[in-house]
Amino acid sequence: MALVALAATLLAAAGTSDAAQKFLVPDGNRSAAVHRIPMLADPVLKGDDKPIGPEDTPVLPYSPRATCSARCHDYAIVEGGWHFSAPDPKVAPGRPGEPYFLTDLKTGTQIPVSPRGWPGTYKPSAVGLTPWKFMLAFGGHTPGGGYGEKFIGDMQADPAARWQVSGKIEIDCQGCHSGDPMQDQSNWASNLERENFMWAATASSAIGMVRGNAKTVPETWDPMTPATGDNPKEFPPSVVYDKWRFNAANLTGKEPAKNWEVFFNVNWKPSNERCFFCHTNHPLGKDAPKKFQENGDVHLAAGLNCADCHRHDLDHNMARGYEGETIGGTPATLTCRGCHLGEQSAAAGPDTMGGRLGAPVPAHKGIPTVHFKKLACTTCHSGPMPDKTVMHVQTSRAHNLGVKAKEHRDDAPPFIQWPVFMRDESGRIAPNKVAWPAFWGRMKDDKVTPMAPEAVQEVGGDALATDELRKWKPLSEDQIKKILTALAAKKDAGEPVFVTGGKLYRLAGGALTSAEHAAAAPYAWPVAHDVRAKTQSLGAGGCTDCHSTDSPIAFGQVAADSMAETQAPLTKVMYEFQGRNPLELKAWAMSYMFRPMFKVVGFATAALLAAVLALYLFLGLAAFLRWASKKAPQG
Amino acid sequence: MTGFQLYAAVAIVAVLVAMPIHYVLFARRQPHPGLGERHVKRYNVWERLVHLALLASFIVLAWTGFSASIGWGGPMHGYLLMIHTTSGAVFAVTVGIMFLTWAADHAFTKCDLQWIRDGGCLATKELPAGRFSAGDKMYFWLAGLLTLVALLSMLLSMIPVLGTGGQLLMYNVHRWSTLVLVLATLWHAYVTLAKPGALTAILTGRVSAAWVKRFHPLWGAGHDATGRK
Repeated sequence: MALVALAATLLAAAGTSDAAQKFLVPDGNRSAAVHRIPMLADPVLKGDDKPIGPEDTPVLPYSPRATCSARCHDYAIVEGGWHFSAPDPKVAPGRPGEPYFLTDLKTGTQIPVSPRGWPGTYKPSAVGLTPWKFMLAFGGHTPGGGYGEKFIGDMQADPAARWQVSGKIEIDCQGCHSGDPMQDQSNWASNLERENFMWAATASSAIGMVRGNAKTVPETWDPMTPATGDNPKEFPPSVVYDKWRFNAANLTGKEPAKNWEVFFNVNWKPSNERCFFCHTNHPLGKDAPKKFQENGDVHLAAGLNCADCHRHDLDHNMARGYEGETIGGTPATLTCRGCHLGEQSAAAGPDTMGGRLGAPVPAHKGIPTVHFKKLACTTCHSGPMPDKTVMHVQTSRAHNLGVKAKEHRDDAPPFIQWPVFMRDESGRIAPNKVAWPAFWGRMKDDKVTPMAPEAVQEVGGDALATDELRKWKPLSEDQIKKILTALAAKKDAGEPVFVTGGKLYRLAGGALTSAEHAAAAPYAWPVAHDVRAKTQSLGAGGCTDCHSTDSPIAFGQVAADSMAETQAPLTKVMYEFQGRNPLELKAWAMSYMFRPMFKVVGFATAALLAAVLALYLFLGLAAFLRWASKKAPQG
Repeated sequence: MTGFQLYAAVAIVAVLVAMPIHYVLFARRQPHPGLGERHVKRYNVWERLVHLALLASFIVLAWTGFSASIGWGGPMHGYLLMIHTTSGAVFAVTVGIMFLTWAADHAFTKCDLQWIRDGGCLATKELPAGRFSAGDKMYFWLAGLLTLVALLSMLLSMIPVLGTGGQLLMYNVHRWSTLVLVLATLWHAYVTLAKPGALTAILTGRVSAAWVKRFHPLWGAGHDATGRK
């Protein structure tokens, strides 16, 4: 019996050991691991887990999941990371961030959408976006995974979905980790648009070329038997690999084909170029700097990488970098304060000290400490220098920047404004990007539910704007009335409304009325980059950078972007977003006119007090010395 | 609750509790000069105006400042801060004027040593004092010194000289020095009010000869204002 128990224990231990060794455990060597590795296709599709080669029949796209997790990286852990976990209801949403924007030129729609459920955004399902539609709309600026793989959900529930043809959208590891100058995320985006989901990682990697269009083939098409028959409209996806990418020994036929290997130029720490594809701000307006005029972020200019601060373990739960963030149950110390001042909430160690990564400890000379309680670091240091009116900006994800096949227009929605100074969750004032939602919806009990643009298009018909030349055109009052009237035909669905420009439009006795409404409030998310140099920060020009009667941070104007024709757009002043009293702000600002005089009088008084104190101190000392000399023994 | 809030509250309560104890044990047992005709001019109009301005600005400063640092334990802001800084300017100028007006009369002399030796404010008998007692003089110079510290700590934080650490130090110096000033002033106010006829002297500037003989016996009796012969 004892022998049986011992044997069972040993077997269990052996099993544990095998499990631990399933994936490569880093040995701590700091040199880069050279990734000359077998490249695998999806084993379910291919029928085996042997390496793929350039002369296979058929030539299949490589699978990042199969390739990267074959021996080394536990994909199941990776896919729980921040960039892939948005649809996971078990993952805490964290601080509100940039949403995706569902835009439609015809219906004048711009809805902030986020699977994370940030307040002010709508879940994809609420606006008719299934995982399939979400990835078609926004997948080009995701690294895959999420709705493309783990959170596809019930494939049968979406009749428009064609996952059986397109394949899943696995995480494109190389999308972030590639060091290959030929890595082209534009190809990733355009292949997703063509429904070439499982080919997209291959297309972007430049290991091979992907042709064809999964959109064009019937649902019965099988990538393992790619012949399409005679239909000229069908142009199925196919791969042609660059042979020189594969190890030469195989090409000479001296080794069996099962040993094909490919060199992946992998950066353990992603380069900035990789991050920029999805994280770029493109300022607009006549004063916006041209690309060559941009200075970029001061950290990058100093030689840091995005991933130096936004770092993570294998779980890919990266530090977003805001205060109060917790990663793995411990507070993140990779914040402005954490690096520049030290983080006292961290466990004892170097993280409690400032200066990480060579971060200079700021002197903040002449700035009373109250500023650090009431303002975020980004208020003075991040984003564009604020002006009397806010500026517009486009972002990679909202405007498909970086995708070659897309036409880009400066006047294309969604309209995003920055910097708008608002209070953050801790009550500090911080710069934000802001977008004013615009959508058609139904209102019941003052709660507005947005409608999918397709549903509005069906009802709106000819009354809707044309998208000739894909140029956006505001909706006229007459158009809005017509569409609202058409939507009102379906009475039990709720009162039809149009939300835009901070207002809610509705019909009242046949007339169009508009008023501010909570559903029309702007969605805002914090601006963190680019961080400006010290001498270009707010306050470098003195207290009156902010404490003046026309300072942008308090009195800057924010005119709501409206999808409706309007002579007088709703305009807010920055202090309204901060819940501050303008009279108080102006009175305080005006006191700065007297401040130089106050300092002169103050120092003069201090000098007088010091002189009188010193005089009587010396007189007292003289008296004491006289007394002491009298008391001293004479002679 | 911050350490400052705790210590400040305890200290203020301690001073407030010490007042009635002192009154019962010492002040009440001191000989009363009795009310007589107030023929003696103790303070002229200028002195009374300066003292009134000091008193008013001091109360406003203490109220606004400690509402923040003791009340909610955070920095001042908004109108409160504006009132505080404006009063601060008035107070600073008035303290300067007060120093020019009264410094000479507050110089220490030998009789002040005797005042201390005889028990000072704990004595129940008449003590030697010129126009101002040694207790008044100690308060005067302490208030001047603390005002200088409080003033400089604020002024230095308004010019780009000190970094964050220095700013924090100045903020702490400011609130601790003003706390001591408030405690000393509370005691000064109590001692003044516990002295029969002193409040009338502050308001009207006049006292009786008996009052002078009782509390400031050396003033005008062959001595100068400081009590020196």
